[in-house]
Amino acid sequence: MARVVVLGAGISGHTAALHLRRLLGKQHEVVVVSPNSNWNWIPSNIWVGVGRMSAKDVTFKLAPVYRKKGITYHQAKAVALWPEGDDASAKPKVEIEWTAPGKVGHVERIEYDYVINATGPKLNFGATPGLGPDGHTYSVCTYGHAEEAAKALDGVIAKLQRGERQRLVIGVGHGTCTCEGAAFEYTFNVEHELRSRGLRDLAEIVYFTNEYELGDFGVGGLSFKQNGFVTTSQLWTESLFVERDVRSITRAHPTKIEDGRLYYETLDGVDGVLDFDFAMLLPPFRGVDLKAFALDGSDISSEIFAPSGFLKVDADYTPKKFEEYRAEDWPSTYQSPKYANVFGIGIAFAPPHPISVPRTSPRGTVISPAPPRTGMPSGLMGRAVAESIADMLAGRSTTPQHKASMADMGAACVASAGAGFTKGTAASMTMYPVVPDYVRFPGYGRSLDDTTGEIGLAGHWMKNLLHYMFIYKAKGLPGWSFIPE
Amino acid sequence: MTENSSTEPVSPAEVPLAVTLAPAPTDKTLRQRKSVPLQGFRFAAVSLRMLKMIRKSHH
Repeated sequence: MARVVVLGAGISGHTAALHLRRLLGKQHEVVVVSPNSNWNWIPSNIWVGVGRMSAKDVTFKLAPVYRKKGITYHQAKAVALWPEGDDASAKPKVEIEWTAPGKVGHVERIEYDYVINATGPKLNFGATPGLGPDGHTYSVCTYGHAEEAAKALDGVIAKLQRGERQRLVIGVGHGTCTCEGAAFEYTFNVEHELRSRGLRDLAEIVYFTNEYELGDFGVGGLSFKQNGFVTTSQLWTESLFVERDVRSITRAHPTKIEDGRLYYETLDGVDGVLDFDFAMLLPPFRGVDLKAFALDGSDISSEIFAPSGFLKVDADYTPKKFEEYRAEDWPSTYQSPKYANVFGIGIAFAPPHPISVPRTSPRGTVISPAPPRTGMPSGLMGRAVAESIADMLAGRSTTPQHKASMADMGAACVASAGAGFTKGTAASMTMYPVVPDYVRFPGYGRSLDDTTGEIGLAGHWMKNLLHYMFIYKAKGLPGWSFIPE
Repeated sequence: MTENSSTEPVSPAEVPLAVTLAPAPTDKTLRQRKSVPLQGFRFAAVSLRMLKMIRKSHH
């Protein structure tokens, strides 16, 4: 009998847990450790943030799903790995601290045969003074944050209805943020809501980003064929900004945020100040506060985690210049090079380097997006690692055989630009591969046949379909495993 | 694109448009983006494209 412990129940961790349970015999135990009792379809949080959906529309309770599936669930957060065991036994363990009502703060160590770190990001609001719900800006990273943003937006709408001009700043809260796509979606959903209420003329909307150009999205932008030309996501995105009269400040890093005032530095070393009435700025991510200890109790965190707190896996972490980046640098099995029974997936694995061109200001401030690794890539990683562990436990292999490199997988992204069955719109994009491979695809780094983009109502229907389809899948309802990641 | 160089607060009119040279969609394009029959066809096309992507990505 073996025990596989999955740390985290986001898209990657939950996918891994469901597939592990499907693939492993009942003699093996699958344990999920997650501090939040709810599963959240995060891509729809932007609709919670504009009041189109409530938190209950984008979440469900994890415990009943896991009970039905035969997965052991601990509502707790992982605080330390003991991959060599501890004083009590040489069996690897993970130390957890319970967050469930009645057990809050209770600490225990649970043994594992395999552990998957899918803890996602720590929302690092502290990186920028004044950033976040405890500061002066809102977020849509969690459904709770999105509900707060929606309430604040209601306040803005009330002021607009009284004839008061308002400036809304939406974007990123640090020069190294990722998930620009989410900020883009929230920008255009807010714009759509204000326009549909006839209040758009009084509102100035500013998209504030660390991207070098609009349409970068942390993947270095896209090139695709359209009307006989190869065009770029930059041109395409800028066109949407012009159409909707959304202003932008690019290549920027917020240095400090006060009540209603944002201070920032730009890539060319210029300081700026921007006053706002409402700001939704995404935080930068880092790894959660997870430590690792050797058998003798010495701290080995720096050996298995990158300085960013993300788990080092089978990537090539040799520092390189952008021109030297290779597709092979990216991990494929997500196995820790130090401990073969430790894996890191989703946002929790340490990427070898950015995808967008890394840039720093004259002051040395990094102002360029971190690589996104959410959504479809996260699900694919979860599935691949589950399949590899199932094979190893069944004796079919001794090393992980299933691969899910971001340099050899595509991604389908649907970025909402406004909700409504006949009035909605979204940008539907596909890219292959996520990480450009200039050896396989000279010139553009990606397949021009498989990298596409279009804007329209169909995209909104697609985003809606994905919302219901992935919640259905995550609930493990009949046929769930036939729905692809 | 960043054009704010002041340490004074930027007034509403001073935050620049993204890029004024970017092509704006024509009325026809905007109508097509909202046309339910046409978008029904596009929905099918986008679905097929995404299925192709998914198939390529599941090894």
